[in-house]
Amino acid sequence: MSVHRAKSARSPRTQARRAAFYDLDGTLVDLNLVHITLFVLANLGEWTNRLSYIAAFAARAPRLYLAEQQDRRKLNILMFEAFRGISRDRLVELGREYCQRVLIDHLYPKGIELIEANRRAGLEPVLVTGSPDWVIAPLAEYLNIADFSANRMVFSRGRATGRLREPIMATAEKAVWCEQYAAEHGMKLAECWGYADSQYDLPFLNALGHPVAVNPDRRLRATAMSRQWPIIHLEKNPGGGNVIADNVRRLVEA
Amino acid sequence: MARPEAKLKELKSADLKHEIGARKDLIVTVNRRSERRLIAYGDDFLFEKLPVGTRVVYPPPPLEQLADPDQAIRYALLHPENADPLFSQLNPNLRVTIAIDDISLPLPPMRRPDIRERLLNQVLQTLSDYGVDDVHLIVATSLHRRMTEAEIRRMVGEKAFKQFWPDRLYNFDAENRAELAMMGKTDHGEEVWLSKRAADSDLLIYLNINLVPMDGGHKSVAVGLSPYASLRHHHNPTTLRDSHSYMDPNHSALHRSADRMGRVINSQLNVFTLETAVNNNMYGGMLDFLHKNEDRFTDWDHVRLKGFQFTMRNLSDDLRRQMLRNYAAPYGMTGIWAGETEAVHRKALAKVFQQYAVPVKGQADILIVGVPFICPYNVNSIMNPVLVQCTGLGYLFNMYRGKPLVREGGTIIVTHPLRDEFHPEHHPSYIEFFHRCLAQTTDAIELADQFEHEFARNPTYIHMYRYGNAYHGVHPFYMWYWGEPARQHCARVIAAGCEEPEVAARLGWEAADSLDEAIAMATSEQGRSASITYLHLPPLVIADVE
Repeated sequence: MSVHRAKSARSPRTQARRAAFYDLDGTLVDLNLVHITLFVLANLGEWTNRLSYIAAFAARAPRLYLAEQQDRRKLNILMFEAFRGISRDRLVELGREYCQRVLIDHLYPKGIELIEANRRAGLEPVLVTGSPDWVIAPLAEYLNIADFSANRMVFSRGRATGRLREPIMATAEKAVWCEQYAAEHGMKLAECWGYADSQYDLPFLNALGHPVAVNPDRRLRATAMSRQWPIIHLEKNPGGGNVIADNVRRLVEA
Repeated sequence: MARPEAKLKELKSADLKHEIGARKDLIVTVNRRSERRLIAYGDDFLFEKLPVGTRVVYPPPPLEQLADPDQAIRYALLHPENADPLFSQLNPNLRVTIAIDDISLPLPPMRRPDIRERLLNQVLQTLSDYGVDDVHLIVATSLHRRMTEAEIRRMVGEKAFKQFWPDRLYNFDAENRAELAMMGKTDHGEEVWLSKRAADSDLLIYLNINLVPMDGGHKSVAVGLSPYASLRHHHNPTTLRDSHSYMDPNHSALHRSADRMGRVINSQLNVFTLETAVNNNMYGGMLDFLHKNEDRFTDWDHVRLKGFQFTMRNLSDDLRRQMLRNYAAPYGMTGIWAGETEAVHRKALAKVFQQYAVPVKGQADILIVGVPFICPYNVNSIMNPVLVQCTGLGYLFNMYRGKPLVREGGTIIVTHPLRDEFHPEHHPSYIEFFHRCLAQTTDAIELADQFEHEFARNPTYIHMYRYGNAYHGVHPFYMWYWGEPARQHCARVIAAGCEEPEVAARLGWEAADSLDEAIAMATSEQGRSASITYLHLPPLVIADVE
């Protein structure tokens, strides 16, 4: 299980507990896995090394695009192959740096507000994301979130093999993980809330009693409207902004 | 007794002189030769034969509108009730807040220029003439959804919008704790909270539209600019059960509570109220046949009705709703008063009753009401089942003074398709309320005890209320409480033309496929001699029941 716990799993008072499960990319933050990958590759070794890593990643772009169109799980597998050969220590260090320098600045303020309000209302926050654990761990610490689920990489002799450990956090696996988490913590999923932004998160949202579409893409918005799920917008400028310009700016920042 | 059609006279406003008692033919008894009657049915209208002997209560014809509304506004500002003229209260150092009724009034939204635009332009011009710069405009939404930019622009007009939006023209936010001020408590222990900007102002001006008598007065400020902490004192089952009716402020515990709160506010703030009354001219042009007695329908009226029904029944849901949302009513202003809240409200109320009141003798065993496509809480949105309940049992049942139109233990027949449809962005908490809370109980007291606080403090619903366009999480509870007097009074509610019986069952109602079946169900219990009254809407009518 790709479960990370800062606290013990069970306590005497777990019976009455409820949780709010949050997807990360696009839901609480306006960045995604591509951005993390580029940041890491652009900060490895000498500049010649960086160029070779980024060139290799660029060459992989068509496959990534096709995978994104077909299967989010496949996308994750391909994306994490880019980290092959990088040492665990370096990834952990870069993950912390990325979190502090980039990720925290890109969190939606309204998202943090929502997490805290939910916490006050008795909904324990849990992150459920396809991002790597070495990025999510420092973020969870910053947000004071005890439990999270993230993708974990296989390391061999201290270096990333480019493979992911099962279960891979994408689509239905998120739902399965939530069910197991709820069972372990004495929660009823019907009483839990879930927040996600993409159509790929439908199984995850369907598993929860209170699904909420956050900054939904076109397809998820249509689904939310037809299933009568609440739709909220956490981004600073809902529906506005220039997507191309935003992506260029992020790449420059990386 | 049946009245021969030949003796029915054409309703001509010039003959009626708009005096209560001088109106004729507003109460019609159906006989064998009577025409079928139009009954509102969601986005459509039923055109049904009613049983012989059914009493139909028609709305009075529209009062004459003011010939020059702008001139009337100027006159009101210069000759206020129990207050100095607005200009004499002004100086350049003044901090002024103008609060405005939101999109829930009037219904349907009126043609431009909206009365609020006219009022604003005059008031802002006066403020400008006297050098008052520190002016904020707040849309008094209370726990209603935030109005969109386009809706506000349409309501206040281009001039005010360009000058004030968005920094000094905005929606009230009842969940922004930093922007709320505690004004004290009433002698009944009710906490009075208010918008901090309004509370800190030297002068609070309220611009109101009185569509029905429950609007206006102290309710405008004490409800429109207040958060949940204040509203919970009167928007609760106990208070609403003691309101007979909402349309009769003198006999409404809801209004008494709002009045107490308003007096606390007015004792600390300089409140200058502008109240307006509108006439009954809800449908004009191609739809003016909706105002007519069906016995006097011409061939042209029948053609238009058929055309309307054909269009409504053949359009997709989205197109049909879009078409109805685009309709703007040709309301005319019938009066404007300015000054001290209570003095102004007395005059406005008199005018409103002059427009709507119809004397009716005796109660009926069965009351038929048609729920239309619109209510105060679904403008540019969807009429969901909870709102159908609120409109049928909350508003239409309460269209009376004295006694309800239906006797205690009687039956109400509500015509509406009753579909399980909600707008996820406008009514998110309604969905959970309907599917989760009502599935457990329909008892208002139990609902309040078990769920109200949870919904009122739900972070997602609060987020959607503050940053989206959602009604507050607690709002569906208020809609349910709104129907409480009718639920206490009547033995049965039957949904006629109900498409989804499980929706009716969830509301605690019985379902009937058609109006005939609903009447048969009602008379099977009440007896074949049961008296039936049909409250004919649109437009609006208030029955003065003896």
